[in-house]
Amino acid sequence: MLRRGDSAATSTSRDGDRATGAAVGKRTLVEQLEAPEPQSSASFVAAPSGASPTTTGPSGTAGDSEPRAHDVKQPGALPRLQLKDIPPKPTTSRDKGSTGGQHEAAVQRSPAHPNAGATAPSSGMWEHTFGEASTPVGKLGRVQAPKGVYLRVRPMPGAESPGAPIPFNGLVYVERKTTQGHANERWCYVIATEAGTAGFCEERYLAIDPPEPTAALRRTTAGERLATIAEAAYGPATDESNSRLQVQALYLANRDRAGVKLDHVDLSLKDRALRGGDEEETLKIYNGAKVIAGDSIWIPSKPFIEQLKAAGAVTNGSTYVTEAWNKAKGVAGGVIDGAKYVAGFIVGLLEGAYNAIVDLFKGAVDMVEAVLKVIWNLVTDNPGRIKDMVMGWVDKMKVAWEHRGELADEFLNKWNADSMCDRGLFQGEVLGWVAMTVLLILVTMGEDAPAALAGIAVRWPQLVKLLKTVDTLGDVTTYLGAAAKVVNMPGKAAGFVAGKLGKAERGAVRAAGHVSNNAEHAIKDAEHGAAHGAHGPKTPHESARHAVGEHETVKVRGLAQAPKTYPWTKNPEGVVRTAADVRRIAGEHGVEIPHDIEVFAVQAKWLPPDSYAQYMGRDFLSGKRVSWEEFYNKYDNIAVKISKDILDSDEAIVAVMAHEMHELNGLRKVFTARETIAVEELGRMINPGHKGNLHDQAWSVADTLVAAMRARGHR
Amino acid sequence: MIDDLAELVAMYNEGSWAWGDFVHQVTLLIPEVAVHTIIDQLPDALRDDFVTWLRTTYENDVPADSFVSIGRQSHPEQQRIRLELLRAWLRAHPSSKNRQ
Repeated sequence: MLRRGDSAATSTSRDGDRATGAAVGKRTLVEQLEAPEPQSSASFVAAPSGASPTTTGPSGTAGDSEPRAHDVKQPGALPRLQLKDIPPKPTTSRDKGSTGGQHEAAVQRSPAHPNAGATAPSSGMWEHTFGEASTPVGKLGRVQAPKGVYLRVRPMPGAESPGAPIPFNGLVYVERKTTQGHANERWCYVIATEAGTAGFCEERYLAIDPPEPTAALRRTTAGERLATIAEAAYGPATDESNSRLQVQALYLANRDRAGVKLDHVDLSLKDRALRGGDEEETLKIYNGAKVIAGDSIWIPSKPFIEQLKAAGAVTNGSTYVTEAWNKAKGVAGGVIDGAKYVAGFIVGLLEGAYNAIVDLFKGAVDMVEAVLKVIWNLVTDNPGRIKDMVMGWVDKMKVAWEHRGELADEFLNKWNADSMCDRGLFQGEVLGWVAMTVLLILVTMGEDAPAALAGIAVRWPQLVKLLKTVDTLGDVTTYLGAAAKVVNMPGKAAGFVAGKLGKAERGAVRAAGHVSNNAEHAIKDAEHGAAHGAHGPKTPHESARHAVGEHETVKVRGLAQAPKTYPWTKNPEGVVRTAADVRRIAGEHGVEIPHDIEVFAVQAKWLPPDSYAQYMGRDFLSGKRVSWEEFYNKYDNIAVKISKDILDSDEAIVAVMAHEMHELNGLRKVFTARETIAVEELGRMINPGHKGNLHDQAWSVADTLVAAMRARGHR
Repeated sequence: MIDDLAELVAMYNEGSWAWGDFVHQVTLLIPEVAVHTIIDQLPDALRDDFVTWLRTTYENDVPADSFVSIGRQSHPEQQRIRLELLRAWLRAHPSSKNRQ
């Protein structure tokens, strides 16, 4: 639906205390860094032996989780950073945010995963990132979609994707997934470790949890047999034993996948074969095993096969098979250390960035939600870009830490942890925290930011050298400056930051206003020339802040859009179109309107307040699944109602129809693939307030077409 | 018939509304128009289906703010008032199945 004055304005809402609630109970990086008074004398010490708040051991208070099911080690196997005089607080798995007392209700609606990772919880972070319940996965996977898969900024079809698709067989680390009942409906948050980026994709496009960490996916063709695939993958077998090993490994790697079947083999025989009762028969069977064309199967790597071979014959019995397999897995797992590091780094980066917000607004919990709404998508929309930035700091920081006396060994131990996953996680967390802190200061303090950074330095002297050495302000400005300039922080938040950093609140508000004014100018420049013969009495809501309820509203310009071509030009000589004209005019200017769309011009009173058009407007019971049929009227058409008020402007007609049809055409694609979708998901696709959704994209489409009309001099 | 209701019905009959949108729009006439007035004045061909839809949708204890609005901004307080009135009518007019 297209609304009058639709804007990205969002306000803190009844769920505004979720994230803060989650954050309150978490021991964040700053809480660990922050020294008791006098702060300048703070120093790092390792947690006492036995009190180290690790989470992997059975004695862990909250993190007594079982080892993860796959090869990636528990990130939390490393002790958490601990300050002298601060009692060690057992941290929980980062996926176990609900275990910590006062923030139990916080954020994670889904139950904690028993095998969750083990750094401090950032369940509020995931709540904000997903926008719905999610549950930990923590497994490697590969892309099984033949043409690859886009990583999207939101868990919804058609959401923006900042990068190129991750190709078939691309390695990913699946961090979390949504909680729908069927894999076809679930979305995963994945880190594409080779591309160095992260985002959402549908679970069905992934093959999760490879049989061994270095296994790759291979597309299959009709009539292929495991024997020929094995030969292609590993070269001609040197002897019968070797051949048997290879095909059996292929079969075992894929026995839970749909891609392999054994033809003309009864189950009992197959079972016997798996037990290795008759090796000759086993070889015959495996050689005869067919694969299903058009699917994909796991191909264990050659080094893995070699490890398997070294561990003993696969056909020596099922127990032995498992032992040999696991042993070989452990050895081969080292090959993907780099992938683990990248995965850990990006997850850590998100956690650190989230923690920075929580830290900076500690004591002002009501602001955290508002600030997250403004700032969080700067991180999650393209985490790969921020990763590139902060990874560049890692080398620079080595120089800074030559004088490591200021830093506890514990910190450095974590920084250089043996486990690449742990190392990446910790480095990402620290640097994500720094980046976000600097960014927050930048957007709240504006021109006073350099001075404010000095304020941080006083408060947390451990970071002085780090901040100065890596020139964080410069880098953050380079990477995030453009986005930061269009961020309007709530005035209260800006004032809070100023106060916290010892600056005059008045100055901070002025600085925030300065940033806001710059954004205003930029947008006005972009819209230059748009306002000729304006349609409508006023522009959409353009003010930087609106009071909504007890909170101020925040707005990110240029991210969630308003129509930049508004106001729309009225037709010369007051020409008013009819409903029949609408379809023709919109079509002439590039709006795709399928035959089953029927346009009705109606009085504004039949549309929601401040709206120009509508094709669906109703309430659903929560959890209801909506079908495409429900969009249709009794004549099997979809009625698009547009306001009679816009019939005097062809620009408005094109913009409004472009908007409605972009949403409807997008939904049609979704419903072509899926019979029904949950109403909550439908809302996220087409209701305002969800950045990057169909509604949001529709503004861009509408603007493009209207701009083209103007370029052609349409009147 | 009340003008707005008559107009809505005419629009529905000409195809301007899908069924779900139409019945929802009818409920938006409440509280300005009483529930029993709406039901009384609906055409025979629509009345039973409307009441059936009311029962399916609102004969429950789901809070007003737990409904998910699509295509229009939700106004929980107005919705709460509507729900109270609709549920009061539904309680006063149990279905024949319930009466048995």
